[in-house]
Amino acid sequence: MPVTAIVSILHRVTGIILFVGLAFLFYAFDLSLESQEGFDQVVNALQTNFLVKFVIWGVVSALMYHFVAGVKHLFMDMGYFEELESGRSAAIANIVIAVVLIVLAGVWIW
Amino acid sequence: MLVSIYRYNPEVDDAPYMQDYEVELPEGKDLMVLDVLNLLKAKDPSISYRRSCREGVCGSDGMNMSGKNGLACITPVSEAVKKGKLVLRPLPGLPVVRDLVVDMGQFYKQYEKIRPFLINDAPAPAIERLQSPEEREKLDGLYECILCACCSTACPSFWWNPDKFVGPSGLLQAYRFLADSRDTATQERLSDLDDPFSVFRCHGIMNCVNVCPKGLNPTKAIGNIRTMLLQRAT
Amino acid sequence: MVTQITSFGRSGLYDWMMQRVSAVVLSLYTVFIIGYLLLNPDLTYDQWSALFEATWMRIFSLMVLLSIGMHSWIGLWSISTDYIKATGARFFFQSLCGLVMFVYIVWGVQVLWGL
Repeated sequence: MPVTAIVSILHRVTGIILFVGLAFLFYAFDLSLESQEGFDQVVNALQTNFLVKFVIWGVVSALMYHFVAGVKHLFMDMGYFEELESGRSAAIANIVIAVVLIVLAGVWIW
Repeated sequence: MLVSIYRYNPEVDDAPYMQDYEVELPEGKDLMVLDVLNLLKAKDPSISYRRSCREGVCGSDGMNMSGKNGLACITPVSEAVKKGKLVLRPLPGLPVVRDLVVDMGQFYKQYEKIRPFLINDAPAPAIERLQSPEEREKLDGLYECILCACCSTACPSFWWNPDKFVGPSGLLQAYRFLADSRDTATQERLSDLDDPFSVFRCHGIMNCVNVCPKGLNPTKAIGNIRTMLLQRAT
Repeated sequence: MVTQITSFGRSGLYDWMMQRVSAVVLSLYTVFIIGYLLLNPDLTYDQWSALFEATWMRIFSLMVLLSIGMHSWIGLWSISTDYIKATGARFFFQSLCGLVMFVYIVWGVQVLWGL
């Protein structure tokens, strides 16, 4: 598969993951604003519970990828990266930037 | 060299299958894929494929060569061979008539939809409708399309909605007439394209640009159509 | 040329534009929230709830909720019309997505206004 196609299908896949993953973010958001106890619970889970960390990292990773690919889309809408060579470079840059952000997100969470 | 060809004759076969052939290539010469097919056809006359001009102008022999669409007549074997093997399949996404021959009906229908002819209601001038060199230049990179269908059949959006999404080839031609200074139906053409499928199913996957044997850029043309729609609407 | 009427804005251009507008809102919010959390590593409950009590933040957050609805409807609608060819299954999938989006929006409003 050409790299531009890989970037595109991942954009779609991460979109679906985000739609489902939003439920976790909403739940955490709800709990954190409910009361001091709820807030502590969220903070505590994020600091100690591996599963919670992993799920949040997963959702944040999907968000980072979807975000970067979305920005690439906006650039393409403005007429950039629409040629074979520039399109390929932008797709590779998209993957590299997303991976860096995902790793950084992992570092932040752990 | 090993050549694996998609075989399907609906009158005889229950299902398509891949048939392997061994072919002797002449030393020190890089044949085109079409030459290889011709060599095989001499051995096994039942292999079916379309071809005509054998120089990349007629657009008849579009096929999928080791995973990538292109014209067999201008694709060197060295470029198409993957891991010592040449795999030939029909263009993906269109119904197979036989072996490498596909039914292009759906593809042509989309082409027809965009009204691929000049529309101008003004009475024809005595000599010709003049265009400045600058206006003419806008058609470069658009008019060269030979309708081989390599791009549209490489496009996932076209695979999923071949009846609704016009496809890269048709849209390149749509823009070719939108960009023509002599055409007066610009507004009608744009109105025809402003639905969620015809143009907007393009997600910039760029498989079309990746395979076009003429080096054209449907993605850019589609972007230009969107810009025209946007300018008109806001 | 295709008269499909269950897309978001019933026009290709409108959907496309709304997809972009909502995307910009969502990305600004993402950057803001991540930035805020990074700048406040020792965040307290009081700080956090004060942030969401501010009117501007509620406006911003409500915009985000509506953007989530729009953005995901346009995206999932086009996914469903790509992959699901049986009308019944497609309608079911679209209804389910619509319901989930509605739940997200109401849930979010409830959290923001602490009902």
